[in-house]
Amino acid sequence: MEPTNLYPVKLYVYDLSKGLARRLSPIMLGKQLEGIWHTSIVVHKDEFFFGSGGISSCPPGGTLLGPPDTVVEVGSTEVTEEIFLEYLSSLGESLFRGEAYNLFEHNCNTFSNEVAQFLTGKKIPSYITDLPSEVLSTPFGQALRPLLDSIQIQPPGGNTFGRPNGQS
Amino acid sequence: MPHTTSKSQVPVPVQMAQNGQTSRQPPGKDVSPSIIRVLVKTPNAQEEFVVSDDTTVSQFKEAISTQFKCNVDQLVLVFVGRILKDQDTLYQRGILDGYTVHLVIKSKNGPPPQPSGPHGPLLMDLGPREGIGKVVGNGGRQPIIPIRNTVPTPIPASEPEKAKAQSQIPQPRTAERMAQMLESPVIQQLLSNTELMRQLIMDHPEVQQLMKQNPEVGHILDNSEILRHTLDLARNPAMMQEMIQRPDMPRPPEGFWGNETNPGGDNALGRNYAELPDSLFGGIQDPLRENLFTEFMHGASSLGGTSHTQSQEKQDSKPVPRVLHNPPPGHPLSGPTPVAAAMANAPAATSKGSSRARTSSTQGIPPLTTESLDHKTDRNFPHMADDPQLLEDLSSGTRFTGSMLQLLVQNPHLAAQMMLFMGSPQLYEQMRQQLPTILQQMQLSDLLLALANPKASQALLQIEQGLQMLSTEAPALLPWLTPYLWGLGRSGFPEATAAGAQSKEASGPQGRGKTDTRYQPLAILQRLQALAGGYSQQMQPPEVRFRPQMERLRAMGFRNHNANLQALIATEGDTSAAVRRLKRSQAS
Repeated sequence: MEPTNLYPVKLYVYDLSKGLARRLSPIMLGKQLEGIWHTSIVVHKDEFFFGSGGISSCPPGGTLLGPPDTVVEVGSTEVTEEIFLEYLSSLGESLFRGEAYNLFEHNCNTFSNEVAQFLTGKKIPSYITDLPSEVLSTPFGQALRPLLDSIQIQPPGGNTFGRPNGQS
Repeated sequence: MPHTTSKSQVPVPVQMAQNGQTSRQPPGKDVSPSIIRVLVKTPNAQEEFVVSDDTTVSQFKEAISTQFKCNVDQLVLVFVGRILKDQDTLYQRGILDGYTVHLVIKSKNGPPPQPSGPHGPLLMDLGPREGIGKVVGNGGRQPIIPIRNTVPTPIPASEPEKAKAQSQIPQPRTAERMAQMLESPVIQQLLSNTELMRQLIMDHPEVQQLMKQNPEVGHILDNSEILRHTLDLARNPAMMQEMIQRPDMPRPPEGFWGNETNPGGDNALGRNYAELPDSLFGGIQDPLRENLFTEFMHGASSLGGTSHTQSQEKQDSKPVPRVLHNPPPGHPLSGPTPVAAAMANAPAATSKGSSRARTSSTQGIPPLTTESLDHKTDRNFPHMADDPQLLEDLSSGTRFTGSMLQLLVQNPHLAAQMMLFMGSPQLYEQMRQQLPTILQQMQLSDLLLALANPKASQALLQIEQGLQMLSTEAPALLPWLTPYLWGLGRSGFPEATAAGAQSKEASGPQGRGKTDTRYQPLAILQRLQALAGGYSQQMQPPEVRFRPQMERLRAMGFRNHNANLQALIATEGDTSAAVRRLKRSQAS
C-alpha cells in the first residue's frame, strides 16, 4: 500500500444576489429562495468555474465576487493536478464550452456538480442544483424565462482555460 | 443471466463467469464473480461496459483502450475520486453494478501545456498576476509574457517563441515567483523604461484596437508618468481587480489615473463626464430595458471625447475628480458640472469622490473639517493624488459600487424589477421600507452621494458642522432636534437640504449622525427617479417645482410649510401621497 496523496476538494458557493434574493424572492417569486447560487470547485489551490466564457480558473476567491458565502467540503480526491487539468481541458472542449452556457440548464452549478462527481464521486448539495427548477416552477419565472435564458454569467477575475488564445 | 456478448472485449472473465465458479476467485471473496455493468464516462462520451466484477483494472483498461482507440498508458480511471490502480479488481474498489467510473484520456503530448496552446498554462498561472497583464486591457497579457520570460535577454523577440520557451518552464503556483521577478532590478529597469513599455503596449493588436476606439488611450500612453503610475497600480491586486471588472468595455482605466496625475489630462475626462448624464438618463428612462445598467456603464465608458458645452466649465474646474474628494463644503460649484461629474465618477469605476464624501459625511466632522481646510487653502493636485487615504477609499468604494453595478448588469432582471417597482408607487413604498437596509448592505450609498446635488451635499456638510458645534456648545438642544429629524428624515436628504437651505434647522438634523447612512439608500432611489424625471427639473428648488401642490396642501389644512415640502419632495410632487405621509407623521 503506497501512500497516495489526497487533495481536498471544496465547493465555493456565492450568492450572486448578495442577499437580495432572500428578501425579494417572496415578493417576486412567491416562494422563498435563499440565494442565487453560483458555485465553483476549489482544488489544487485553484478555483475553477464555468461561465459564459467557458471554464475559467483563478486563485480561490479571486473573482470579483470576492470570498465565498459558503464553503462546502465535498471530499478529497487522488486525482492529481495534471490529470485534473487534462480532464478539464477535454471538458472545456466538449461539454463545457462557453457557447454551451445556459442559465437554467447548463450553468456553473452543472459544471461544479460534474467536476465534484469526477473528483470525489459526490454531488453538490441539491439546493444549489435545484435552483433553476425552483425558479421555473413559479409563474414569474415562467414569464421571465425568455429574458432569463439569455442571461450569461461570467464572474470576472478568472482566466479562461484551455483555449489556444486564452480569450473567451 | 450472464451476458454472453458484451460491448467490450473482455473474453476471459466473461468466459470464466460462463463456466461458473472456477479458480479465478480472488482471495477474500466468497461469492462467484458477477457480471456488472459499468459506465465509463469521459468528458466527451460515455460507454457502458459489461464485465465481471473481478476484472482487474488493467484488463478493464485494455477493454477500454480498444473501445476508445487509445493506448492503455493514456488511460486514467477515477472512481469516487480514487485513481484505480492496475492490480486491483473492480470488486475490490467497490465498483458495483450500475456505477460510473470516470475516464481521463491523457493526450499523447501530455498535459494541456502544449506548444500549440502555449497560452493555456500561462493564463492559468497569470491568475495572481492579472494585474500586470490587464494593465493594458485584456490583450495585455502577451506583451508581458516576454518580459517575464526574458529577464536577461532583450525584449523584442518574437512572442510565440517566448511563449514556447515559457511552456517548457514548469509553472507552479507562481505568485511569489512573479513578485520576485517584479522585484528584480532588471525588471524594474525594464518597466521603468517607458519607451519600451510603450512600444510593447502599442504593438499589441488589441491595444491598437482599443486605441482606435478610444483616442484618449493613445494620449495616455504617451505620458510616462501615467505608465509608471499604472504599473504601481498593477502591484495592488485589489485595485486591478476593480480595473478589470469590465473587460468588455472600451474604457481606458489607466487613463483615469493618468489624468489625475497629469493636470492637462483632465480635459479628456472632463469631456467624458459630460457624456455620462445623457446616457444615464437614456438608460434609466427605459425601465424595461434589459441591460439597463450596462447602458449606464456604457455611458460611463463611452469616453469618446466628443466635446460638450459643459466641458468648458469642467476644464476650468480641473480637479473635477478632486472636487468630490473634498466634499464641496467651501466651494460653490456650478450646478450641473459637478453633478454630472459626480455621476460620472461613481459609475466610471471609481467613486473616489463619493466614497470620500461619504466617508466625510457619515463619519462625522473631523475628516470633514480637515478636508475643508485643505480645500479652502489650496487645491494641490499632487497632494491629493498622493493621499493614501484617497486610494484606500477608491478601492473600497469602487469595489462595492462596481460590484453592485456588475451584479445589476449581470442580473438585468433584478434591475428591471427595481425599475418596475419604482414605477408603481404602492410597490415602491413597500420596497422603500425594506430597501434602506438592503442597499446599505450593498453599499449603494456611494452611488447616492455621487448622484447627489453638490449644493445639497455642501449644505449638508455645513449642517454637519453646525450640528457638531451645537453638540459641543449646547448639547441640551440635541434631544429637541431629534424628533424633528425623524419626522423630516424620510425624504431624500440632499433635496431636503437644498430646500432646507432656507431654514437650516429644519433640514439640519437630517444630515446628522447615523441617520445619514439610513437615509442615503432611500435617497438613491429617489435620486434615480429624479434623474429619470428630468435633470434640469431637479435643479429648480423644490419649492418652485411644487408650488401648486404646496398650495393645495395648505388649503387642505396642512400648515407646516416645511413638513409639506419634505413630504412633497419625498413623493415627487404627488399630492395625495404627500397627504398620506403628512398624516402618518402627524399620527406618529
